[in-house]
Amino acid sequence: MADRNRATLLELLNKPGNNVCADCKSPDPEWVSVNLGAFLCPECAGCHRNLGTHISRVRSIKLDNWEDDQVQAVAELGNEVVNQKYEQFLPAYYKRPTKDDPELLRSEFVKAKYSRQEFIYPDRQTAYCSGIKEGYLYKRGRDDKGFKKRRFCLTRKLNGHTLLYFIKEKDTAPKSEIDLDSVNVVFAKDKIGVNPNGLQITYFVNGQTRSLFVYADDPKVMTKENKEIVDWYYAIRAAKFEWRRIAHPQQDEIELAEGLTTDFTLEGWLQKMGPKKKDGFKKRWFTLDNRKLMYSEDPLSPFPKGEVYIGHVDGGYGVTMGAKDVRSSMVYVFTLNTPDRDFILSADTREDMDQWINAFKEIQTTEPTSQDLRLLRMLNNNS
Amino acid sequence: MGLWLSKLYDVFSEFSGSTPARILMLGLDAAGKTTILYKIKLNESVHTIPTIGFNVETVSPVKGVSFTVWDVGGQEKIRRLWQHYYQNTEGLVYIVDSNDKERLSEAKDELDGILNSDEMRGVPVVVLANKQDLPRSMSPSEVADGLGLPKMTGRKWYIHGACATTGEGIFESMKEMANLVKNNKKN
Repeated sequence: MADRNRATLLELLNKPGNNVCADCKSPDPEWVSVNLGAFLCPECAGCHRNLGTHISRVRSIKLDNWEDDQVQAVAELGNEVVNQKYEQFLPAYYKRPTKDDPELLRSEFVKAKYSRQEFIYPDRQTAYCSGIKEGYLYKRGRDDKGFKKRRFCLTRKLNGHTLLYFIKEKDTAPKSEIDLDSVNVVFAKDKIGVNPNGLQITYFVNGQTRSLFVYADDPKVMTKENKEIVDWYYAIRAAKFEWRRIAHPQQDEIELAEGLTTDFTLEGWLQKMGPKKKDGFKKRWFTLDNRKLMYSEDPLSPFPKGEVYIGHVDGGYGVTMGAKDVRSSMVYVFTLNTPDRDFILSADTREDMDQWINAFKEIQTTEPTSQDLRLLRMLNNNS
Repeated sequence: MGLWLSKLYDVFSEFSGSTPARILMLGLDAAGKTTILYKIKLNESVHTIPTIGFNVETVSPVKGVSFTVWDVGGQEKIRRLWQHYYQNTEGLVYIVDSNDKERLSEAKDELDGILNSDEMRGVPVVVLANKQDLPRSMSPSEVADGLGLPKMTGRKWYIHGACATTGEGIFESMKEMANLVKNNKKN
């Protein structure tokens, strides 16, 4: 009987919608929330187990024995039915978690969807949906490197949304006023040592990319809820989305939501040779943000030492293994060609080098968009 | 204070220099075993996925105490493999999801199965009534009754409420485990 039930469940996996995880859409969901009727991947199953059995009861298709009535209940539901209910008001600017996202984004998505039921009751989205938000974040100083508590405001202005932050509690004039149009926000993952759930907010100031590093909780105080920083992430996405919708009222919501924020393509340490070959190699933290390559001395630098636009091969951009006329003990050397300068770089491992070369090649064979050309102009104005 | 210090010294003298005590951690699936293991090891609340197989870590939950903790997956088909971990076990940590009233009798049956095996005779048990933070969770005494602990003979047992994500109740319980293991060795 157990075997027959297992066979029925495996068959159910072929039903449209059940072949991918109900939450993150990754393939082969072999775990099931019995009471919700959702097929899940192991990572999302892990998040469901944290909700409590009063919300979700998880079983494995292959490692648990199933009763007839449990199989029957799941057969009547399935991912499509579940998502019609639990994602009926999922905002277009919301980001479905993927394997590259921090665990926090996944666990908060699962909590929002099933525990708080924010996508059944849109009035529960007020913490982030309006594009207006005010609160305290710990921000890393530009010059002194500690994190200090600052008041942040996301507000709506005539010409778009603005992100402000203030030094003192009662200050009426902000320390900085950031036009949201050029803002990108990503999770800083392991970069902020004291807090794994920080954000890196980048924007243009005087033709240069400024990086702000912020987190929501005081790491000295043990807090269970990390919702606040995720709310800020979605508030910024919601504000950018709202502005795009005003600018392009005819456009499809899903298209409008594309690229609201973009995760970095690749990041890591590389050795870079100075402009004069006799300068030798220096260790730099490299960040590839789509077509913008930045390098700095420290992953938490407020401004990069340099930033380079990566264009199309037809425009004189390229990447090759090795380097001409360079004698060095470095093993994994490669050259990034741009019309202005050739960058001679070296990775620690073969895998790292291949990753960087492949990332550059992919960008260099993709046609630039109008936004890319705008980026090129902004970077050129600076140099 | 003096009593407390001497107690601590006792525990310390017993474990230092010797090999870590072998502790087996079992319980139904989703009880919180892996979360508790890494809370003890790293004092961090890690994101876990269902354990296929086992995790093993040497931990030092209390100063001077060293345990090798075996955390074996709790899915039904994996439970059949639990018996292969019984040999030389000096203490059992049994984790129960206090929020899951529906499966408390299943948790009792599995615990009975473990304790009835010859290899586990006399091995002390610490039960963690986990997930005390969730709504409508059973109290540690309700869990103790449900598992039939008060009627148990031939071994020492201890129960404590816990919340794996915050660490509440875990370190106290590990300290008690250390005491029970030490006393059991003496007898």
